[in-house]
Amino acid sequence: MIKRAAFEARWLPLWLVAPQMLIVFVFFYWPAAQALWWSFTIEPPFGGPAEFVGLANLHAIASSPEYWRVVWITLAFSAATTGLALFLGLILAIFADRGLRGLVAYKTVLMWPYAVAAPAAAVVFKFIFEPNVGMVVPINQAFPGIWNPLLDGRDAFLMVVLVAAWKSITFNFVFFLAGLQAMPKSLVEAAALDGAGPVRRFFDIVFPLLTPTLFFLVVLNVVESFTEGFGIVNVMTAGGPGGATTTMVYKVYSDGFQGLDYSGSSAQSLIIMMMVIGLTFVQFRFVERKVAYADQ
Amino acid sequence: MSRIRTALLGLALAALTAAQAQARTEIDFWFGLRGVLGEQIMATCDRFNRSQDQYQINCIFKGNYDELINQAIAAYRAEKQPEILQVVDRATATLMQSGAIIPAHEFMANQGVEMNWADYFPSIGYYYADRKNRLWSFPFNSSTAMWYYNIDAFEKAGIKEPAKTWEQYERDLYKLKEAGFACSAAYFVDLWTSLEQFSAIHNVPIATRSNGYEGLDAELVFNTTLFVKHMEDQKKWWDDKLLRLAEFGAPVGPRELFVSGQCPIFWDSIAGYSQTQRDAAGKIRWAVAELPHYEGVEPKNNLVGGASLWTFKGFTPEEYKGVAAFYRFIATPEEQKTFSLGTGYIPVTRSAFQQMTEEGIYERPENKGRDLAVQSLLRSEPTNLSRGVRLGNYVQIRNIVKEEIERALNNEKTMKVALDDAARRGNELLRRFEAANRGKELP
Repeated sequence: MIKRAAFEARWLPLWLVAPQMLIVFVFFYWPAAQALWWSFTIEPPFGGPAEFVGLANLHAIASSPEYWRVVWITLAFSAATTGLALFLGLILAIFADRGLRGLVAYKTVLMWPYAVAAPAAAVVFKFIFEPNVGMVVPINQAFPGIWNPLLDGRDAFLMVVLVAAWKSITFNFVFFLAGLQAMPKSLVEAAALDGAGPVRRFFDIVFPLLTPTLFFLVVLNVVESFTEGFGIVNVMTAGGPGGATTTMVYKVYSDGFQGLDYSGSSAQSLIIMMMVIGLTFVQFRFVERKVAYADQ
Repeated sequence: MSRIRTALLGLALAALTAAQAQARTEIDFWFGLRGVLGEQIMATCDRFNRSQDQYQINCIFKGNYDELINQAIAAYRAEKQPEILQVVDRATATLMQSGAIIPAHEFMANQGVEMNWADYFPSIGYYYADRKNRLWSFPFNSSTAMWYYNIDAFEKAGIKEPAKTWEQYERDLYKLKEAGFACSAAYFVDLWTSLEQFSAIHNVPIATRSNGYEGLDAELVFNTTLFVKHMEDQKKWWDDKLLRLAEFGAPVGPRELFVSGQCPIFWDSIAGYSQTQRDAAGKIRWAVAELPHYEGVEPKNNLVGGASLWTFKGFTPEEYKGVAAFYRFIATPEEQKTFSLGTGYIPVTRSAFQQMTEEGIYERPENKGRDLAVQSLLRSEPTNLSRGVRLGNYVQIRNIVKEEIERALNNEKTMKVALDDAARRGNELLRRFEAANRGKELP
């Protein structure tokens, strides 16, 4: 029989969760509901009577080819950042798992970047990638004009992907390493006795056992790439050049806070919310089926 | 004994001062400038507080212009707005349509204060005025666009004087290249200079309905004017590697490239004069010049840039008296002079400019060329097209134009196609602003 610790009183637990619920309500549900309402109106910035326009805001966004460009940029940014950060995080974790000398030091150092705030990292990398004075100057001297994120949209996009991935690698590394170390050594050793090499062991045993971690990280990375990418884009490129790094979240900020178009901006954040919910749903519904949890 | 007495005396004095401070009516002023410019605003507030004992102005820095207006909007919606708000030029239409402010002319009339509105330079006054030329806000930190050149580099390239026409400017760019400069001019897509000032000087429209002054149904037409040729010229200079990209705020900005002698030309506001002076000291000899125009064009006045002061609704008559006292204070020639010399901004009234000229301030070597900015604002009486730009959603429209031009510079489309696209996308935003203000007229 499972032991349960339960409160006898009926109201006490409700009182105990009330502060938490209040905070969640005030800082999450209230603004979210307000944004939802604004999406269906044309809200004057300084307040006053707002005109209800139904789906007109959403329609204006959906029928704008520029907005679709922003959606594709966001998806590409998300996929590239997630893929790169997961791949490199996994590689580093596999090497760290091999019990090298000075492992603790490596692990500690590898975790540092996660403690750096995105805008701070962006400022530093902005200097590093500056085409005329940054550390990339030798490359530009060898191949003139090859790297110019100030004007070339592709270079700028690559740059923000690299920085966003750099930020996430360490987070992924920590979880992958924990996953690897929690793995029963007997399985790997048995495979080794049967004559499987390291690569074979990885793909047939280690990787399948790691899929729960991988799945968890994919979900987190995708969601994070939607939201956290903002700090990097805002500092490094401000959505430019030529709009090549304008992600959906950056456009929400730019239309709302620079353009004072609160309704258009709210409608866009509604779209982002639906998209993240949708993506997470797809991941749980279809991808998770392929995940093998340990006790199944 | 004596020590206790001193302490008691001190306490009594402190209480007295506190009582006095309480007796003062407090007014709030939110501004959005940092660095030297912000310090000068704080100094202005201190001088006002010392100059009289009825009012206490609290000057509060609230982040850059965008952050500032967002905070003010949030505050207004929560009924916590300040009495006075500094607002950047490009948000003028938004404030006029907000219903949250008292127009300057109405405010001063309510206060029973006779203002000599005609003392403001027309090109500054008209920018913040309604269709009847009545001011809605008080011109505050005002500047205009200039270009800065390196005298040593010009001598080396055999250029005798700064170009007056874009044709000459272009020839000089090539001369500088031949003289061995890898970068003739620092460059970024600067719409303030290239679109707004250029269109005013050449008397060509940015939008119909007198750039939006006469109605919310204005449409962008910059893709059909001389502006297209100007941008195509800039594209040619870029393709011929005469320019080097550098935005203000980048690790290496235009001013850094200029003062280090790498790029002999950069464009900036006259408000950058003091900063350039400080940074270039001991490195290069330099001067400022008025913006060029195309040959065969009779140039009109430059546009004013910067910010103005707006008065929020919702305060007591006593508080508004303090606000009026502050507006009168900053309009005095003496204050204008102090603020102008401390920042690089220009005086906004004729009387202040005249006084400064008579005192010989502009003849001093450290102020050489500062008056050119005023002269370029006075170049002509403002026309319907050189008064200013009064378009809704204008911040976002500018972002779109910049984005499209960058794509043209990067050879993703031709300049003409880029500007057509920018006008189409911008017009969508204008229609959106019109819908948000349905039933309302521009004042």
